[in-house]
Amino acid sequence: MSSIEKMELVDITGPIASLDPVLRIIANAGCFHMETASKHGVSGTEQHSYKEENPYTAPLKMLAEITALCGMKYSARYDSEANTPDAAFMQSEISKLKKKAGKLKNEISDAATKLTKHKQALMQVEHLLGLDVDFQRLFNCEHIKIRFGKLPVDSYKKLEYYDDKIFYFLQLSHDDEYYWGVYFTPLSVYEEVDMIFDSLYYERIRIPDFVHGNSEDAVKDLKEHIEKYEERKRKAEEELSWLIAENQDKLDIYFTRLKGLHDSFDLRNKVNITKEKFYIVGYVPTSDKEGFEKLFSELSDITIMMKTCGRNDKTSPPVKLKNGKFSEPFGMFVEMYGLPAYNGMNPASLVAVTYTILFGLMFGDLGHGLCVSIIGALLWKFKKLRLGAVMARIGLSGAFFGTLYGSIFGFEHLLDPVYEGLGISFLPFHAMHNINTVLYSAIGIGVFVILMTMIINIGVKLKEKDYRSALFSNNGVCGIIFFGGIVGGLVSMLMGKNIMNGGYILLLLVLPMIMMFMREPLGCWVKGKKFHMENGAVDFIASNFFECFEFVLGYATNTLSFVRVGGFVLSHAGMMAVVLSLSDMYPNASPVIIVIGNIFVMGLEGMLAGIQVLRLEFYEIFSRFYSSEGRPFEPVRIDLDKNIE
Amino acid sequence: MENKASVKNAPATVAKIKAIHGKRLTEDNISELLNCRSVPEAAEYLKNTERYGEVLSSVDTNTVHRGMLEALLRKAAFMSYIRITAFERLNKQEFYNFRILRAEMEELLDCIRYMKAGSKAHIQTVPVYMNGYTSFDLIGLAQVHDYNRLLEFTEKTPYHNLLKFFEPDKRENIDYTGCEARLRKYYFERLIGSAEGFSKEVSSSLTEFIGVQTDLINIINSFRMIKYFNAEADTIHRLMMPVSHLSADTLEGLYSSQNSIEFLKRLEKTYYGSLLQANGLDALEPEAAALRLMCRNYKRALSSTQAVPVAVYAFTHVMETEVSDIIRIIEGIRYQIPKNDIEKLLIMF
Repeated sequence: MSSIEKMELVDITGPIASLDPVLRIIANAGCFHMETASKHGVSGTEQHSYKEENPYTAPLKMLAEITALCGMKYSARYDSEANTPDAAFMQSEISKLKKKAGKLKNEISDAATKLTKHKQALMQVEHLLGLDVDFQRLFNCEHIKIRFGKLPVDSYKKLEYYDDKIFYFLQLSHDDEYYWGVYFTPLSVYEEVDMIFDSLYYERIRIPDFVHGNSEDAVKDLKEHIEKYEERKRKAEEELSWLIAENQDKLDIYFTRLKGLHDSFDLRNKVNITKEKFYIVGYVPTSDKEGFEKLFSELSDITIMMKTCGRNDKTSPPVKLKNGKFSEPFGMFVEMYGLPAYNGMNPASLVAVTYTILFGLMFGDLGHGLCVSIIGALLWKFKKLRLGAVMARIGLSGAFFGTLYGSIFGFEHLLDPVYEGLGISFLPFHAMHNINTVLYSAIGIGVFVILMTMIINIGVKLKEKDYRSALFSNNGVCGIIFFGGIVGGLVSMLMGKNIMNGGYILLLLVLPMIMMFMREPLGCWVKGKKFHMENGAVDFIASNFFECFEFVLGYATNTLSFVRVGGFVLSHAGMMAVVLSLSDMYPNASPVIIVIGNIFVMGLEGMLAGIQVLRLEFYEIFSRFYSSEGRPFEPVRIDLDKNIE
Repeated sequence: MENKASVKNAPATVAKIKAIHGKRLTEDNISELLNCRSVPEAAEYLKNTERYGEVLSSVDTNTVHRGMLEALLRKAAFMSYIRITAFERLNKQEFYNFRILRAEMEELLDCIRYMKAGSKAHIQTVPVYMNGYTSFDLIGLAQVHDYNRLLEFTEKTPYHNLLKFFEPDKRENIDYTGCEARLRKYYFERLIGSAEGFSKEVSSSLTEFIGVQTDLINIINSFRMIKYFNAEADTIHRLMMPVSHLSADTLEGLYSSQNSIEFLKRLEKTYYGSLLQANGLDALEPEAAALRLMCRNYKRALSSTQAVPVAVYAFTHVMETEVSDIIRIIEGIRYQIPKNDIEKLLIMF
C-alpha cells in the first residue's frame, strides 16, 4: 500500500568552525531536506543568516570559460581529500591553463581569419590569371582608372555596342555565368564608363592590399600564405587538444571538488549563526534517521536533535511518497498532479490499480499488450524512464484483457480453440458482437469508480474532521445516497422492476438533495456554530440552486465520461479490422500491411488510451477527494551535471 | 512550321508541367521573402528555393546588382518555358512559339519607344538570353536608332509590312500607339490562328483565354486613353484589338465615356465589371485587378486541364506573374516600402 514517508524534524547546532564539514556531510548525505533556519522559528536577536560571497564561484567560472574556449567537458571524478590540493592552488592551476588555452585559441582564430581572407583573395585573383602586371603598379596609375570584376555573360555580349566609348575590357577568364577581367578607362571619362558597366551589372572585385606582384606571382604568394596559415592553425589545434587531453583528469578532479565546495558553501544561505554557533534546520525521512546520525559520528562538538513530525503538527514537512513495488512508478502521475499534504492520503495505489485495469480494458490485445510491456521494461532498464515501468505493468494488463477478448495482434479468433478446449463457453468475449454490453459495462465501471471515490472522500474528510464535506457535500454521504438512488432506480427500470415509488424518491433523492442544498447551515450545525447568510436569503437560494443543478449535471456527465472506456474497446477491434481488410485486399503485401498496421494501431491507441485513462484519473477520480497541498521532499545534493554559468 | 493537333505523350507533358508548377513559391515563401530586410537577404532566400536556386547558383548574393537579379529571375521564367516546349518537340508547332513571338513584339516596341525618346539605352534592357530563339538578332535591333533603319532591319520578317504602314512623316513623328496596336493585333491574330489547329475543345479554351486577355488589355488601354488623353471613341476603336465577351454596343458605350469615372461606371455593368471588382478594382488604375483576374483564370486552368497547349500557355503566364511579383517585392525591399504596402501590389498571392 502507498503511504507518505514519515519525516524527522532535524536541528543541528555546533561551533562555527565545524560548519563547513557539517555542510559537506549534508550535501553528500542525499537525504536531508534543508530549510531556511530563519524562516523556521530559529531566530533571535543574536542570530542572523550567513551572507558571504561564494569563493568557489570564480574558479568554477574559469572552468566554464575553458569549456567555452575549447569545448572541454567535465565529469565526476573523485580523489581522496588528502590528494586533492586546496582551493587556492586549484584556482591558480586553472588560471594558468585558461591562459594557455586562451592563447592557443587566439592563435587558431587569428590563423583562421587570415586563412579565410587569403582564400577569398586567391579565388578572385585566380580568375585574373594572365595579367602579367604588378597589381600595386596598376593601383598606383594616376591617369587611368582600373576596375577588376566580373561581367555577366549576357552583358559581355553587349560590350561590342559600346565601341565608340573609351575603355578597354581585358577578359582574363570566364565560366558559364561570368567573364572575369579588368577594364581600363581614362580618368577624364571614368564616371561615364563606370555607369555603362554598372548598367551592364558589372560586379567589382576589391583586391586586398596584401596582394602583390602580377597575377601569377600573387597566386603563388597567396597559396604560400594559405599553406603557412593552415600549418599554423593545425599546430595550434594540436597543441590545444594535447593540452585538453593532458589536463582532463586533473580538471575533472578539480571540478568535482570545487563544485562540491561551491554547492556546500551555497547552503550557508540557509544557516543561522551567532558569534560562536550555527543552526541548521531540515527534514530527514524517519527511515534514514539512523544512517544520517551516523554520518556525524566523527564530529563530537555537534548536537543533533530529531523529532518525528506528527500528522497534525503545525509545521508543514515536505512530502516523500512511499509506494509499494507495483505502485511505485504510478507515483509520477501523483507528482504530476501535485503532491498530497503531509497528513493527507497518497493515492498512488489507487491510481496503480485503476489505471492498470482501465488501460487493460481499453487496450485489450494479447500481442499488443506484451509488446508494450516489453518496450516499457526495456525503457525502464536502459533509460530509467518511469513511464517505461508504467508501460511494463499496464501492458501486462492489456495482454490479460486481450486474452479475455481473444485478440492477438488483431486476430480475433486465434484463441477460440483454446477456450473451446477448456470448455469455457462465454469466452472469448468479442467486443464487436456485444457492443451494448461493452457500453453498459463501461457505464457500470464508471458508477463503481465514482461511488468508490466518494467513499474514499468521506474517509478522508472524516479524518480531517471536515464533517460538512463528509456528510452533506455532493461527494459525501448525501451525494452517495442521491447518486446511488438514481443509479438504483434507473437499473430497476431497465430490468423492468421499477422500485422508484414515492418513499424511494423522497428518502433517496429528495431528502439528500435538500441536505446538499442546505450543506452549509447543516455543516455549521454539526460543528455547533451559528450560520450566517452573508449575502441574504435570495443569494443563498440562488447560488445553492445552481450548485445543486451542477451536482446533478456532474453526476450524469462524469458517469457518461466512462463510456470512452467502452469506446476504446470497440475502436481497437475496429481499427484492427481495417488493417486485416487491407491485408486481404492486397495479398502480396499482406505481411507488410499487418506489421505496419499493428505498429500504427499499437502506437496510436496505446498513446490515446494512456492519455484518456490519465484524464479519467485526474478529472473523475482525483477531483472527488484529492487536494494537492504538499511540497516535495528535495534533499540537498551536489549537482555535477549542472556546470556553473 | 507545322501545327499538329495532338502531342505524342500529352499526359506526361501535362504532368511534367504540373510538376514544374509544383515547385512554385508558396504563400509562406512569399511571406518570408517579404520579411527580408535587404536585397542581398532576399537574393539569398531565393537562392535557397528549389525554383530559383539553379539560376542564382553562381550569384554572389552580397554583391549582386538588383537589375541583374531581376534579369536572372526573368531568365528563369523564360528558360522554364524553353525547357517545357523542348519536351516532346513542342517548339516545332507554331502555337507553342507564342512566347518568342511576344518577345519579338515587345523588343520591337521597346526599340521604337527608345527611338521616339531619342535614347540609345535600349541595349541595357535587351534580354540577350533570348537571342538564338528569336527570328532576328536582339543586339542588332538595339543598335537601330532610326525608323528607316528599323524597316531595313526587319525587311525579311513579317514585321516589315506591319511597321511600314507607320513610316514617320518628315517631322519624324513616330506613331508609337499605332505601331503597338498593329503589332499586338498581329500577335493575337497569329495566336488565335495557330490555336485553331488544335481540337475544338482545346481551341475554344485557348480562344477563351486569349479573348479575355485582349478584352482586359483593351479595357486598360481605353481607360488610360480616356483618362490621360481624352481620346475620342473613333480613335480608341481604331487602336483596339478583336474582343470576345463584349458586344459592339457595350464597347461603343465604354469608348464614348466622357471621363474615367463614367468609364468605370459603365464597366461595372459589363461582363467584366463584377469580376474586376472581385479582384480589387482600383478606380485609379484597373491594371492590377485585370492581371489578378487573368492570373486566377490561368491558375484554375493549370490545375484542371489535361490539354498540353492550355497547360503550356497557362503555366508560362503564371510563372511570369510569379516573377513579376518577386520583382515587386525586391523593389519594395530596396525602397523600404512597408510590408503591407508591398503585399497590396502583388498579383498572384
